[in-house]
Amino acid sequence: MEIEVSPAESAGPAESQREPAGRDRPNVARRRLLGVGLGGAAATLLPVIARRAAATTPPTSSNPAGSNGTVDTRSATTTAAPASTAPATTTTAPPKRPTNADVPLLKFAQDIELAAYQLYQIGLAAKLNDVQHTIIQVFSQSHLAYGQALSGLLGRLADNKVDQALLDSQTAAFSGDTATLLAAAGTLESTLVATHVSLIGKLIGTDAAYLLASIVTVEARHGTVLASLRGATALADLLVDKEAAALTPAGG
Amino acid sequence: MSHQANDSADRADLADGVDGATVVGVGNGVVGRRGFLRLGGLSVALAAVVAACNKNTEEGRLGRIGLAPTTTKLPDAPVTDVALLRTSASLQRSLLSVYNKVKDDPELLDPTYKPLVTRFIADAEAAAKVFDDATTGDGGVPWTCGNSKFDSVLINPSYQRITVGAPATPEAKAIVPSDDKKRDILTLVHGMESIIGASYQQFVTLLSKPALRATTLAVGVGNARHAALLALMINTARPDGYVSTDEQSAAEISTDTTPASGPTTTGQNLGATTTTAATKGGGSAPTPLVAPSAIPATFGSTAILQIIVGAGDENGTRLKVSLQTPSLNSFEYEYLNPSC
Repeated sequence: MEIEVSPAESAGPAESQREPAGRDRPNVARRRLLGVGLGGAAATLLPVIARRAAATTPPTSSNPAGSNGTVDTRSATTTAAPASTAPATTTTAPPKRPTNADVPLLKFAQDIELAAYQLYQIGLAAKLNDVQHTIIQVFSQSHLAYGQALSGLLGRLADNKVDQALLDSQTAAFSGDTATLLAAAGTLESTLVATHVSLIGKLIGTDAAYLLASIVTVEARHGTVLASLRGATALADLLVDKEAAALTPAGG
Repeated sequence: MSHQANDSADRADLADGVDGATVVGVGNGVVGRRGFLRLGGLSVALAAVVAACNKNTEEGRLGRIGLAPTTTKLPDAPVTDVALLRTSASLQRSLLSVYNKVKDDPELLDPTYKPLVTRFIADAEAAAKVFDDATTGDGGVPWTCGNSKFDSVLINPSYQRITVGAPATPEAKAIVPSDDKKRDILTLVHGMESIIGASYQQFVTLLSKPALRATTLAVGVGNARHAALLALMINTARPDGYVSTDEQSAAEISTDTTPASGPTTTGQNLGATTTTAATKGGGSAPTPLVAPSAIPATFGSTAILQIIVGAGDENGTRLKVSLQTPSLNSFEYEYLNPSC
């Protein structure tokens, strides 16, 4: 067994027994030389250590199937060869709130919804059976709700008026017999669907687009229900293959 | 290690009492083991300090010493218009796969509904093409398969439960195929048409171009009408098949003549029994089915739509599937390649 003793740890010889100072110099010199050498080596290695300390791993992208191979599409985290190394394109998100240009479009949408409500109210006076009466009443209240929702979106800018042109053009049909009423109601729903889809293609703010989208998907269903209510059996009628023409706001 | 005797009395004393001990001097210019250990420890500590004090935190990395295993960087997956259009097409193709499986199987589809399904197939193919063309027009590559997530998580398990049932497990008995496969297939496709229409409604807020929003919603209008018609076929009660009872209640006009008053509401009896008595004679009643309505709500909903399919298990529980509009884990991102 070896026991290593360093000058600092050892008791060391008594001062009186120490060798003369001159005789320590070669040992000190060698020690210093050794220390300098080790220090230099450490300084040399320091950048290498720093690089390895800083780096995680260089990013690599690998497609186990090869650059043109298919990948498992059942995982959204599947790795694949990136299409390009170009920096990602930044996009500006569209605004949520209606813009100034959206306001007249939304006012128009509200006006025609309130006109639809009025027309259904007229239709409730027709001779309807219980089921027909329920449907017309539900649709009437739905269009009122749509007008109110648009009013909420527009806030103080809402004028809450009825589109007089639509009301005037359809009053006679909604005042007619049950068959005429149901046919006119189906056409009205199709008109509203086409109009709102057209408006969505023009709106900038996404809040308004989303509101109209939530109205359109239900008004589309209204058309199928009304077709069934009037006894239609052809798929072309039940699925409203012939969509009505979209209305346009006055002046554009 | 060479042994160098040291004529220091104290050093020699250290060796006393230890048989065979050899004193290795360090006072003569040679670094001993202890010195090497000190140097090694100093190097490691120095490296750790460098690693900790480096700018790793700023760059979001952990400090490491030495080599680390390579990692694969995940691809960028932004939700672009192209990704949404590809997803939209994928939903139509998922729907198509179900229709194509059932249209010629009288066990799964009443033959009287074959013209309806044939029409729905044509509509779905046309809709998929609309999205393919829009994808190409926006500079992307069309997605020509079903939606990966929908197929694996929602549609295939539902279809399996309806047509085959479920095998026995150590914890549960086997489940037989559906007690009414035709009913459940209609329920499944009704749910899919509804959720696809809701998905396109939701995409209106995600698509950046108004023209694409209109195109997508125009297709969604078709899916909504499909769903309405399927609801009328499933739920033949009237007016409940037309509009939900909630809608009927909400539309009732109050006869109260007080201006600006709303309809009266019925007080809720909190003490009423809400549990269902167990059926006599053992066995559990299967999960009650919910009949859909053509107009389920006043506004189009993008909420979860639950469908109930399949035969009940040993406890009578049918399979409940929650259909949701696509989100981050079910978009067909641009970096993905279809394989079907």
